[in-house]
Amino acid sequence: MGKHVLIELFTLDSAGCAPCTYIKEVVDNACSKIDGEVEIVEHKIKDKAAVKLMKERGVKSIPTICINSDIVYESLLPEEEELIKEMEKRMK
Amino acid sequence: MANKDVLIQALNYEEPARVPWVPYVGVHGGYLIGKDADEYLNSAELLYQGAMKAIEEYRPDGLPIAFDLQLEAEVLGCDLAWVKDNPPAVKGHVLDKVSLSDLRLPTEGDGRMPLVLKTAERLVQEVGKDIGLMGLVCGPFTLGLHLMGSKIVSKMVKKPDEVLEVMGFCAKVCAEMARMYLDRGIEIIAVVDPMTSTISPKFFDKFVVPSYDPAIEIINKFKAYSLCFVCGNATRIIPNLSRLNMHGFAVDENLDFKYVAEEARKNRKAFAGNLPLTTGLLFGEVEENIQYAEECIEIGKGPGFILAPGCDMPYFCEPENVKAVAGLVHGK
Repeated sequence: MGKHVLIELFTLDSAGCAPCTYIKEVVDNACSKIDGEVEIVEHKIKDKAAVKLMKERGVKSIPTICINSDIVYESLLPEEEELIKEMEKRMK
Repeated sequence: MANKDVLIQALNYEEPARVPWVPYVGVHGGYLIGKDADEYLNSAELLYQGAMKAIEEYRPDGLPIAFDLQLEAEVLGCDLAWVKDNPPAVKGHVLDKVSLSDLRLPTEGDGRMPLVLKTAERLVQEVGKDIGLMGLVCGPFTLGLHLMGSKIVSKMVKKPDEVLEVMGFCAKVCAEMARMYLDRGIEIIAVVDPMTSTISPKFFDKFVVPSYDPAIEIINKFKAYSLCFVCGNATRIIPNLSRLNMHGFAVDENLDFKYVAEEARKNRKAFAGNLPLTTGLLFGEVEENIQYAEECIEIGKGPGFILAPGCDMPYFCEPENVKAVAGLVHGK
């Protein structure tokens, strides 16, 4: 089995909130350039379950990028190369 | 005293007799009149009806004409993806297809400009004396993201001159959009630049702050009021926002409002916020929303404070929650 990494995005909704849209875009772009299996899950806090999960995970602001459950970027749009490095560090 | 005057007092860094209240009704106006977001944002008549319904239900002191940060990008050639319960999102960046020198400034007849400007004219004529109507323009940095995509962040480090050139163009677009509103009698311009919370204060000062100057110049020429809207956790740039040559700024719920109030007051700036959007207005109960509003008022009360949601209100916001906040503000 190949290496795997889980990316979770906490957003308002990447389909209609500019910061969330661009966080999703930079993640999608990075994932297309990484060697390994990447699973992307978007938790939209317009859903009650996502609000509950956000509190449980200690995520304080949106948009946030978690990699393998680590909170890595909060309200910060990373450079693609930097994001790829953070993902590669956590590949299992 | 007209509702608008209560808001204007805060923008002048005075303390009005009651708390000024500005619900950011964007696509939620469509929900209020039973129309989908995409249909709503493509009709001057529906934008007008939604605003009038919001005025009737929420008794605001100020109200946006439209809350759609993709309007300018669409005119410039970006592809949009439309949905029923959100503003559209940019899905194709025009600078991937053409060069900056191929782009021309938007004109009043382009894209959906005519319907937004027609709505502005009609609202100014019918409610402009009573309500502080706000022209929202896409901030230059957010527009830069729309035009270039997320690679703008890497280029700020690797090709700063290219980014500065794009920002110079976006600054002109922003000023031109402000002029279109001002020409129609709009007295408050909000430069809505949510992407600024995702960069460092250093980059904000270098790439973004100068790009506000052309819009500020024309707003001042019209003797109108200027605000900068941000969202997300903008804590890093709050001191920078409070130093802008604008009348004030607006923040969302992801930060410490007490800190925001302190920083704004150092520079005698108006500041708006920061009712929780999802946990409050969307999912909360009426009593919770009253409590949230009371907490905001307790922190913010005094000169320059404006009670407002953290950002563009979600389409499905519960009207009873918003009405409860209006009731608290108006004392009934």
